[in-house]
Amino acid sequence: MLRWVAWGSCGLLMLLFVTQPISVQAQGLLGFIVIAGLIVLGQLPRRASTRYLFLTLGSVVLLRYLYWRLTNTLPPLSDPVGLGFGLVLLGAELFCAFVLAISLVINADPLNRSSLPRDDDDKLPTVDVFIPTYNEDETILAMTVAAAKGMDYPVAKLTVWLLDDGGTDQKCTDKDEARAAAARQRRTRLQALCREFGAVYLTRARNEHAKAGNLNNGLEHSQGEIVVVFDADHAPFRQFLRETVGHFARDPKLFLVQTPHVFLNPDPIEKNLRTFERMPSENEMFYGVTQRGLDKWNGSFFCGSAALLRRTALQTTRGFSGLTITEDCETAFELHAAGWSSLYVDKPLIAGLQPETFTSFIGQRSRWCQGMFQILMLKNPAVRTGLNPIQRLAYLSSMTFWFFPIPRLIFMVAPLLYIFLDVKIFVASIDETIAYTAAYVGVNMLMQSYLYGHVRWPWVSELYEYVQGVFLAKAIASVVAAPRKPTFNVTAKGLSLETDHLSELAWPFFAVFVVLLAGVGVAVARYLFEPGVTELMFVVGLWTTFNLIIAGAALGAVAERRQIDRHPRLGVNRRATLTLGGRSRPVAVDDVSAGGCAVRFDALPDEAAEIERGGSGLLAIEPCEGNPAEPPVPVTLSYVTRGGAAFRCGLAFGRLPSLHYRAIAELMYGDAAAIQRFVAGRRKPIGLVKGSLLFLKWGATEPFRALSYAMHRKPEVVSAATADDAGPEIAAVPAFDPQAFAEAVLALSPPAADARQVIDADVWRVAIARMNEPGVVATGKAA
Amino acid sequence: MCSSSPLWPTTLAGLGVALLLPLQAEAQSFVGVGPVRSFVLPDSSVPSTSAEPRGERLAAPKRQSENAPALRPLPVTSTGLRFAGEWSEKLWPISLTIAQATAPATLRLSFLSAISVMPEGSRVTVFLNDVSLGSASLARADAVASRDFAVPAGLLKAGANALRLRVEQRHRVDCSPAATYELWTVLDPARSGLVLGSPEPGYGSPADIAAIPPRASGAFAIRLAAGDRLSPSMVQRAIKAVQITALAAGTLQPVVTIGADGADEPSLVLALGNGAPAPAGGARYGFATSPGTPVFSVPGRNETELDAALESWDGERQRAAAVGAKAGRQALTLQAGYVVSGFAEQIRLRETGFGGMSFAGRRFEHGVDVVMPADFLPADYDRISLDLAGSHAGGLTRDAHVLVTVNGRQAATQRLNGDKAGDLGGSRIFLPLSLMRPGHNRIAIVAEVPRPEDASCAAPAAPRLTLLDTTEINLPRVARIGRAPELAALSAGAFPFTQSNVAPILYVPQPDRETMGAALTLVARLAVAAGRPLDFTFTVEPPKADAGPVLAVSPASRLDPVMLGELGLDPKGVETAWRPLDGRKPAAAPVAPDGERLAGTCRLPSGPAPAKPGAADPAAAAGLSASLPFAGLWTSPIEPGTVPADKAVASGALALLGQGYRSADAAHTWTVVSAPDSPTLAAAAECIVHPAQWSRLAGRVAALKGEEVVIVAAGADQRFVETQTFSLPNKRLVLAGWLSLKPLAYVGVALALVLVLAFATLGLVLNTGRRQG
Repeated sequence: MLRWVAWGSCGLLMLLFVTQPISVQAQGLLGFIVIAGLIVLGQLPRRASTRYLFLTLGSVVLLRYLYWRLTNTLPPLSDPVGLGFGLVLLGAELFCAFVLAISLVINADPLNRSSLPRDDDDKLPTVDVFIPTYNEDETILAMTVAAAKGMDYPVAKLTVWLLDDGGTDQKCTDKDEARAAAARQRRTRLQALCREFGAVYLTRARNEHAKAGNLNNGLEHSQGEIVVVFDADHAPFRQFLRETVGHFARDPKLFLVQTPHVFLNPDPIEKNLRTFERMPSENEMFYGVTQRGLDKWNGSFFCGSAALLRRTALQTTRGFSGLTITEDCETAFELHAAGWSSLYVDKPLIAGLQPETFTSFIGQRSRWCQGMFQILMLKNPAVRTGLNPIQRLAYLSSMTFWFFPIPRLIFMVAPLLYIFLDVKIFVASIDETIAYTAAYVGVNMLMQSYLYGHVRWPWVSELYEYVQGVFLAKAIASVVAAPRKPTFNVTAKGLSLETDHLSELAWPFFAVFVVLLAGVGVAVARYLFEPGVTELMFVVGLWTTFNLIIAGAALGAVAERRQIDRHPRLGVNRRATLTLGGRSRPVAVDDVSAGGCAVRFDALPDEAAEIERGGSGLLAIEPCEGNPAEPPVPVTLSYVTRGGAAFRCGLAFGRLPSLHYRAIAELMYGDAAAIQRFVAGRRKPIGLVKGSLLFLKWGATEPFRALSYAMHRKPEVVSAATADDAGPEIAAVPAFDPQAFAEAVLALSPPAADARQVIDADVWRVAIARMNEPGVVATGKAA
Repeated sequence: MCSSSPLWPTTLAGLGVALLLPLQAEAQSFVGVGPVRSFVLPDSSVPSTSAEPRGERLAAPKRQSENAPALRPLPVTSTGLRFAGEWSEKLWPISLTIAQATAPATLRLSFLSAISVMPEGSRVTVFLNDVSLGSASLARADAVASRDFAVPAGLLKAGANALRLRVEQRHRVDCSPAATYELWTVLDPARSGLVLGSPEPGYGSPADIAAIPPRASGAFAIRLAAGDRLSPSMVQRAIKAVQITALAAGTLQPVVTIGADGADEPSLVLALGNGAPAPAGGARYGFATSPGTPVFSVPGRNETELDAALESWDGERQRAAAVGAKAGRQALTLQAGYVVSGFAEQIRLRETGFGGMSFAGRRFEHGVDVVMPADFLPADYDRISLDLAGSHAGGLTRDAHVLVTVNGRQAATQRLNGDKAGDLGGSRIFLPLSLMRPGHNRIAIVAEVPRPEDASCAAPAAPRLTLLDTTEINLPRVARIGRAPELAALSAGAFPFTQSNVAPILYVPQPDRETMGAALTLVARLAVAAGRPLDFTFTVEPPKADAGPVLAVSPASRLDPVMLGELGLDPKGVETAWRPLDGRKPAAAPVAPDGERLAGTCRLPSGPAPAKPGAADPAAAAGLSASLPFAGLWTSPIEPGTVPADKAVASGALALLGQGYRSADAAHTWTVVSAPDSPTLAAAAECIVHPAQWSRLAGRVAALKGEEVVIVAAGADQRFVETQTFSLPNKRLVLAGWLSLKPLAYVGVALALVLVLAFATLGLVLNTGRRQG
């Protein structure tokens, strides 16, 4: 209480101070000193004390700016048009300030959780893993189910459920016979897949309440104490449960443990701007900072996948909520309101796929946006009982965040009103504009960089907001008009792009770009040649130029690059034995995808002739510590490069029997360190200057690339993992002779330390035993 | 000569009515000490109500009626008599009695124009009570010309009337905007005014005091006649009476003389006390029946009666409703400028007397006079915005622009798109509030609208600029706090003498005729500034340091050197500068030669030449510190146009007005008015109260040097004095003002608050919600 009083009094004093009208000179000096102070503080080690000093210092300038905007910059009543538009712009700025203020509260002290100790198996709860699916490809599902089955957990306590909404009775009896047949075939194949993996296939009569209905169907048929949800394309790493499930025993009121979503493939913007390998993904700000911030206030919420929920908690709200199309947030909202608590483990433990095309990306975002607005309108957090104030604020923040398209578009249009129509929506002298606005922009950038620099490069937020804003504005309008109308659309993933082309949604971006370009041209012309035009035109021209750079970069974002990798790969650091051309050799596996992997090995002098493209072989993967060994995977050599004394080979898995997915899943998802290394590798702040220069480069060059694509023919979008396009069938996989294989391996020379590991007898005993199982042999023979 | 002991005489020597003696210039006390003096009224025909008159007689002054039909000069205003540039408009209030208003009248204007003015293309247009009396071409450049305008019967009203003169001038040969600086026409105040046919002015009610004509200079002269030796108690009443008179006269320049001084010019004789003639109709106060110089009499047999009469008179004055033509009443209120409240206020130009205009020249200038409250704190915690209403023609050069100056300093410029016709109201113009000052301010709108053809003077005389009377000046609510020392607060509202908690003191250590005249002149002007009579206590003894705000009027030699030191002046330097020079005559009253008279201002003769020419240069005085970047952040910058204190008098000034304090409480501020000797002091007082000088008073010390006013910045010595009842918004603005003046302090406070809030937040956040790890 005393702390609250102390803080309240200090805050009130500060508020009184920042609402002091003051000379431009004093304001300019304040801005200058604050910016200098932030730069110095930014260099100091990140401690709680410097963090709060930094944020409080920056807030002074932000608040000063807001006060000035509110009291000194609105057009007079005598100019109703200017005043009207001025109020709209002010509203947009206030919204941004509101979002920033809430984010500062939520992210006051993002939680860093320490790892859980490993619990004894007998103390672990029973777990049901739900993998809801609707139309995902079998290959994707095989990987997910295999990875889920491969999780480090007592087998008796883990049940994996494939909840298929693509093979419901309703689908199987569709009036369209072709569709019905496809559904039936899907059901059959997935049932077989589950049998092979030891998972449970479950479907239902009707596709009611979409994903929430599907999950609730799973709940009805299962009994595990803990329910884990993975999207069909979200494959868990082996450590997933060990890192998370223990929290439930430690907090009886805990209903949720959420982990971050990490993607193996770039979203269309990352892909088209080629930033995936080096720039943190868009969602990392949310998972890397916001969810941790929410965790501090018991406000982290369910994101639909990669999360664990307590069955007893779900039962109190009759399962997953399905009123809105974002069942995840809605479910968490209901449970928080019912007094349950949540928790967030900031450790990448799953790897998933995200939409490849701009169109499907927009479709996904539209669903999130509409769903959040549905909750806001149908279950307003501001008035919902049971939530504590910060939870209320957190949910409001998560929902109102989705208003961003409106202010973003306002910021785009506002300066044009002055350039083209002379509507003055912002009344200030040039020295005031510099003293207040420049300081505000500077401080804002520094604060963003301080808070989010490791998860977000400069100006990238603006880019994402803009590219979504153009379409989400429409989505917002429709949900506001009819809050119950939006329906669940499954985001299309695993698509492939054969050629460079423009997204079919690209034209509005060209239109906006042309208008902004004209705006900049007119502004420059008016500033240079029109006598009555003041420095205000200069400021507005700069603003429009900034917008133009965003719009230019956005053109790059919608100019879809050809996707070379059909299957997203993950860098790993594993060892295996490759048998090729009758010779076995130890190899290092550098990366792996569902379609193949890249290996490295030292070349022998006489080897060149043996290594041929198209040759078939077997890859025996050395399992991670504690993992069971899997039979070798048939591979085809797809490329060979030689660098010095080493070969680097691409190995394609081709169309494999489902069983091999266990080995591939183990290779890919056997050790979460792989994905954690990948994520950590991108989290290096680029810095304001470098980031801004890069953004400037995109703004300047991407429009030309987009223009060149505009001249290309329209391409076909195909599914990356369909049977027709999954690479060549491996025609001549040699019949596997376990004994011969083991001998060949044992004969490997020289007997280096690595090789000794490879030929660990236990490993091969198990491997050989598995190879002798009837299914495997049958499949192998069939091949 | 002046005794320092309070030996008040018990004998009232002259109770009769007599003219004053032509006194020698030497300082002589007539406040109960020193040689006995008698007062006599101008006209012996006025019946005496008391004992035998004593003392010498003067020749009676010329009666105004002897000059009939009398020319009634124009009163002095803050705008002066000089019409400059291509377009200029000025407004005068003229108050008349019923008899004057109904008499046949002619308006006479005498003026002299610059040699560059083309008389046949230039004209003066006369509006009386907003009715045009016609136009006349301007004068030849080599002589003062007169033009008469007949005033239609019934146009003049009893009470206030408004005379508006608009002068439009063209250059003889040069059509460039720069050439418009050479265009001027000056009214000759002595030969301009209403020529009234009425033989008798018919002064009746006390309100008719306003109808008494001013001197040719525009000043309103009050000649005090208060019996013979003035007892301190009589001085006390005289102080009040001259204040009420000045307020009733509605003048900006009251000049009080005692006895016969200035008797040859129009004046009001204010007869006070036992010897005063009985007012007409047996009232307790009022005009005495007098054929010549008007006599306003407040007899009173004793102090109580006199006090009651003065009270009653002042009450009647306050209650009296303004009468006269509507335009006249407005002109009366605008005499010193548009008086603002200090709260957020929107002023349309029509409220300032501007009626809108269409302008065909090259350079247009219109000044708006705005009177800010005396306790206004100027700083940039807010800004004034100007919304121009009007339009400009197309075909202008690229130089076309609107410039706004505040008190002569450039505040904002807005370029016009001269290619095509357009609106002036395109964008709001912001003016820094720090350029304003307490009291009179001038916001000038200057529009330069040249056309390419001007180079050959071939441009047609089509309108180029229209400025509408709906143009708005938006004033923000301003911070209100008294500052001392600050002469601008004194001139604007008689601060610090208006404070309610302490009675002001008039300290005249050498109460001779001239010094007392000077003191009463200043007191009367202060009453005008305050808008009410101020309750001064008179003393010849040095008051205590914390007795209250003191107005000390004295020749420098009679002042305590310590007091001069407190003004920041070097007493020895003052003594040296003002040592009587051999053969130098004491300064005469400021009746200036023609050229200076026509300038419409007031000037003193120059004093001794400054010891070091150029020493008064403020930049030089500020030295290195001023040239450092951000120097203003650490110290108050040397205000433009000010000099260091020790240079003020040494630079050749002949009078000074300064403020300082001897007590820790700034409420007890001393205001000192001094000059080398009494006659110079009297002349200086008359000069100081001229609107042109009075409105320029600012800072800690103002020294009069010719017609220049040398200002010493108040700077760091300034203290704040509460003037308003407690109000949070005002407190906030005052703090904002202070912080605006001290940017470094502002940043310091900000950083301190940041530190405290950051650690309060840290303490709160770390102990709320879940903890790390």
